[in-house]
Amino acid sequence: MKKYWQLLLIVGVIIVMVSIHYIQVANAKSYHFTFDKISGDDKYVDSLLIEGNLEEGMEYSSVIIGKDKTTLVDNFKYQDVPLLFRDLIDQNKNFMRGKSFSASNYFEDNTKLVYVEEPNETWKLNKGDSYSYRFDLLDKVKNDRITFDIQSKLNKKVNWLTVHNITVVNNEVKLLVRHYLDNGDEEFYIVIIDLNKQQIVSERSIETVTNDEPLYTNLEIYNQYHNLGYEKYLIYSTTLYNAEEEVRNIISRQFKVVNMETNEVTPLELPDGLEIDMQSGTVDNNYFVAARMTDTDTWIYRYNIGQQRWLEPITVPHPEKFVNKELNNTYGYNGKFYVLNEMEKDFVLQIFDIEKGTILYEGILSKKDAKQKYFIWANRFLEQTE
Amino acid sequence: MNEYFKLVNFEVRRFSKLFLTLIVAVTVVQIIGAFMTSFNFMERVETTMAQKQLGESEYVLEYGAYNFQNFIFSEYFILSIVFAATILVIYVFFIWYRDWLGKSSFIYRLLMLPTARRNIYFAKLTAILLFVLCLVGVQIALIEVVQQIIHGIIPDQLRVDQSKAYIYSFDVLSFLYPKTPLLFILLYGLGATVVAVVFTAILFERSYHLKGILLGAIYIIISILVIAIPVIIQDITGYLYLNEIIGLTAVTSILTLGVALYLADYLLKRKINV
Amino acid sequence: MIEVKNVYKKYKKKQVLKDMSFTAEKGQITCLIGINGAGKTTIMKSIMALTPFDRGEILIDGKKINKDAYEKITYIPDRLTMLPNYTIAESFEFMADFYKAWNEQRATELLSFFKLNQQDKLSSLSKGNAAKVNLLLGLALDVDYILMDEPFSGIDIFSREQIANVFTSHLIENRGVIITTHEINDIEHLIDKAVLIGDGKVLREMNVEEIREMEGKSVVDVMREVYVG
Repeated sequence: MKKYWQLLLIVGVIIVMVSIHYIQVANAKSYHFTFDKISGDDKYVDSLLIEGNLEEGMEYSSVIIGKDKTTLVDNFKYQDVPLLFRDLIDQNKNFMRGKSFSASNYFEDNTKLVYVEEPNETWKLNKGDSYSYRFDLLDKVKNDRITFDIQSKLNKKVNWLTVHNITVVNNEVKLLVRHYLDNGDEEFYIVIIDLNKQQIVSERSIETVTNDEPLYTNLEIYNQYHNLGYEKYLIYSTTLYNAEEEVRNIISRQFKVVNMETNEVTPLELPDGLEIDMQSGTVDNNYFVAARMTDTDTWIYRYNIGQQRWLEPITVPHPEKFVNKELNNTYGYNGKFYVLNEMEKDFVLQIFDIEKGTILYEGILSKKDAKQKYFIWANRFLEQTE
Repeated sequence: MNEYFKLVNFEVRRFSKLFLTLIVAVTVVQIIGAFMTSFNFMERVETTMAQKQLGESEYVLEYGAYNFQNFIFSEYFILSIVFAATILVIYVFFIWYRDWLGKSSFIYRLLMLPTARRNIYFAKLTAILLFVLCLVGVQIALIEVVQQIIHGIIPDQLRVDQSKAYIYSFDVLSFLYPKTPLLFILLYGLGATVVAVVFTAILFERSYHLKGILLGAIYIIISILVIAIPVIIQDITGYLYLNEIIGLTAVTSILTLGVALYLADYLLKRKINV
Repeated sequence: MIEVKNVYKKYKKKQVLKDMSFTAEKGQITCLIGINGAGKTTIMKSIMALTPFDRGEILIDGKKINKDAYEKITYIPDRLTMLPNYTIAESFEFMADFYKAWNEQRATELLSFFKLNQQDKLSSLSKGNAAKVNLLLGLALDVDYILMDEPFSGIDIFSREQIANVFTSHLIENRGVIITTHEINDIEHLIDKAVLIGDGKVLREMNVEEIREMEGKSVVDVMREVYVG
């Protein structure tokens, strides 16, 4: 035995240290958040999950915050796969193979899952050249899968193009495609494809913006990125700003509504009090919702898109001192509007009923045993369905 | 089996003095690094605070607090790791060539031992793996020591505390210590495969001399390509999921390891030349 | 019996062994004689599977060499086969650890016979003493066959005598010995069989006693016939 002590020592060091390490790491992974109700009904947070990022000290982690449990997202099986796509992969493993994790390229309802892939290397093409979108269609009912290409021709030379939204209406796929033109301009197209015939029905430009130094125009979409389902309305804005100025100065901004059923585009005017540089606009079904923070209150603005009218704003006083002065997290989902904001000590969570214009829940969200200041970026609010 | 353990023990004892020196060197450099980065930080804090008349909390707000990355990215830490890795990579070759070169020809004795010759190969492979893992283990303890030193020098207000899981999820440390024990085993299994391939290439050279260098080089390239098949497939098709890539890489590695062992056994039995 | 049958080996375009055949009996000392480069060392390494050969067959007691054979046959090359930083005692320990055939008692006997010190480091030994240790490590194994490569080359006269004495002692009795040399004088009276090698093949295989009795020739006489012509 004496002769073997070096070997035994080395093996001992390896086993002990590596075990200690993995035990330590496993134990370090516990986070806990508490929801303390101020008003409303607890049932609204019982099944709520907030998917987001947490910063504490210099430490960043992806977490799913729930009332009973907060999960640290680093399951190795899904490394680098956004949460939204984990479910899709679990349910449609083969269909999802090799597909990008960009929610704008997917449409999903009860009967089908549609994926569209943009043409590659479009900067090599010239005006008049043809390019194609590749469609991958999963019929959930028949469990049948079809792949086909749709050809189109370039009107102008482009650098690249991206699909910003995909919706299926009555067996017609409608794509909102943004062309980044060779000359710096940008165009929004609505491309309509007949799913049965697998042919283009129409391709129409609905918006052209010009970029000319120092003035630039930006296109922005307010529909929820994570929403893969059917949406009748799509809202976007064009923002003109001066790139020379240090603080981005908005010169003008126009909001427009696209009715995906009729393909009509109508302008949308903001009500008094809602600034054009508001960061929080969200489309949820028939409503466009935006929030604004003052030193004392939270203001919620609602627009009934179908009726084309703004409803009375809702105001709720802050339960804590509002120090951050910036609106942090808002999200519209399933008829509810979520606001999560950093207050003096903790975060305040407010849940509104969009249609009724009432507050359903208000409470404090705080990290248990937080030794240092922390910050939450919420990417998505969703209700757990088990 | 018994002979194999004896040979492993023999290989470990043979390198133990140099290995101990290596561990001491790495430890000393990192401890010096812990002191130096902490003292440098404190000096910077004190001069800046004096010049600009800032309080500690204001300093932290403006310039940031000390975090463990200050140490991880310091030359002390990086150089100590690179140094240890280099020594071990050199030893992967030297563990064979030392038996051929020099005044004595120990390889005569090794090959004339009444044991299967592949045990010599396994023992050398095991020894290398043990040295690597031992350093990896010692580094875990060192991180703890370094943290204690930093805690002793830098006051709480000027320092951000990070959890163990977080510290180990970046850069060199995230590579050396994968997230789960399974990944740890897979990583070092892959490492062992690569060492085995290099060993077999060395045996090619020892068996066929000049021609063997060419054979060995070709053999190494083919082996690496085989191991990388899943990654290459992924690069071209994007078809696989991460866990599938890891699983397939484990399969191709085991295959490569099998071939390396088979060839080594053949070369040692039939082709080796002393 | 060690049988070398029609062994061929090519190395770097040179035919080192061509159709080499001879046998070495247990209980006899067989001497391979030839100039440097004749293939003496190569054939010994081939017997021990330390170098490959292209064609032919080598059998030890009728069997091809395998791992267990190393308990039956050993090879003492012209260089030290132990770690230079080991002491003689540590070398003994190593041998005892790996060989069942290691005879500690005989090793100690040889140690005093050669007047060596257990605590000496191998790297500090003189050339003669190193050769003795080398010889010792082989002789202390209870094996049936011992192969020795030039045990006398480059060694001082007194060490030579000591080593030569080994051949007449009980240490060699009943064993089969193959020894190579390019200088026969020292050991002519010791050997039973001489195998003259040139250019990779056996030029003459003879029983020394028979030749002396029947033809009245010494080994050197035959060598003169064979090599000078």
